[in-house]
Amino acid sequence: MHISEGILSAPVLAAGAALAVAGTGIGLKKMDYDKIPEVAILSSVFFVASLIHVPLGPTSVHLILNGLLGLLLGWAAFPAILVALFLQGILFQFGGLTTLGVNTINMALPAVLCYFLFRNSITSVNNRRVIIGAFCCGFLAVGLSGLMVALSLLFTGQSFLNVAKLILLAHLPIMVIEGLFTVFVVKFLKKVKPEMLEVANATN
Amino acid sequence: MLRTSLLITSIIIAIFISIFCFCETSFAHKVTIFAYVEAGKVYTESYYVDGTKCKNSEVEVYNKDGQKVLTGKTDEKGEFNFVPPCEGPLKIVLNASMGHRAETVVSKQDLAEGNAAPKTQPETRAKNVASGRHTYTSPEKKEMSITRHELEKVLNETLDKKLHPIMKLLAESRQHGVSAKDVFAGLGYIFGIMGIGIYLKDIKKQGKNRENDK
Repeated sequence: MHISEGILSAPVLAAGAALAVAGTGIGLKKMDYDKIPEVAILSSVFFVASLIHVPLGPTSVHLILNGLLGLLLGWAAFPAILVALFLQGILFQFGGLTTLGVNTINMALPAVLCYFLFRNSITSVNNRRVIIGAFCCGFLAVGLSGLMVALSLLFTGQSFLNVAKLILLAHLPIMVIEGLFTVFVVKFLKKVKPEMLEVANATN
Repeated sequence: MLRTSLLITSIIIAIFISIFCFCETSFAHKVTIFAYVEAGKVYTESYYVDGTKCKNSEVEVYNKDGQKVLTGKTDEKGEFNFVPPCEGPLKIVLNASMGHRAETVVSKQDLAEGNAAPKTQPETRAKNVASGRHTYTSPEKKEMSITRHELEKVLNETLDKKLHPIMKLLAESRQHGVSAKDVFAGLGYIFGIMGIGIYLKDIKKQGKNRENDK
């Protein structure tokens, strides 16, 4: 889902960069001292996840895990994703430096949105509610990112519906896998370190 | 709260499903196009970073003034070959679906070299035979220049043949852009940034503590 350089027009790039700066600013403000290591670890998870390709269905796509980042970090997902994307850009040549802002917004905004949608359900005592919430969070974050990418490409003259169709179809397996993965992580954290989920809730 | 989030979720999922329809394409997050000239033709191969070939992707060729001179589509093997319509340098741009783009340049020199040898092949061979007999009686200077010319042609011919598989191999190996070194470097950077972050926040914290002490 990384958009390459030389595709988007300058206004789209500028808007993306401005929004990314704003989001990162909020993220850094909301991030307190004790949370920095957690942000860094999840940033590395995001950084490495994109190397895991899933050869499922008609296509080959990679893990994104922005839903998980959003759920555990809230607004702090912005700086985490920005740093990871920057490093992916310079080390792997995924995406590019000029598209960094747009790519950050495309992945981090759905993460934050899903955080607000599902933060209450994952701290609930009702087991079923936790599972459904975590699954939807992982599932939706990727899907929304796909829609955001389609939206950014809208201004390049590509048909929004066609692009959205392509992206969502290709990422359907990933959406399901990320949903399951998020459930697994949330269940695991609930058993081992439940305060991590609750802290995420309280500080933001 | 659960009901509202479930409602929103189902609405969004409904939107997704309504958008769906079956199409076959392949994509990852980086594309590479690799081009080389041989026997008067430009060969290009396109890949996604995980090695999948870019099928049915649009390829555009621009001349040095930035004018589009040729468009085409890659085949099932991600390959697209064309006879250069004009002199180099040519810029070849690959437009894969959903925001993936790569470009490569075939320089004037590459184009000229790749063109020259094979096009004159049959001609040269005939000359070879003719001049082969001729050289014995020629003055030394002329013999030198002719043999060098011949040698160049023959070498080019053989090299093209021998290099073809190597060029293909090179094209295939170039796509594996991600190495373990890069991954560890990235992780190192992230934890370095974490260290700086903690340090900065720590300074702030200590400053506040000092103010509180006063």
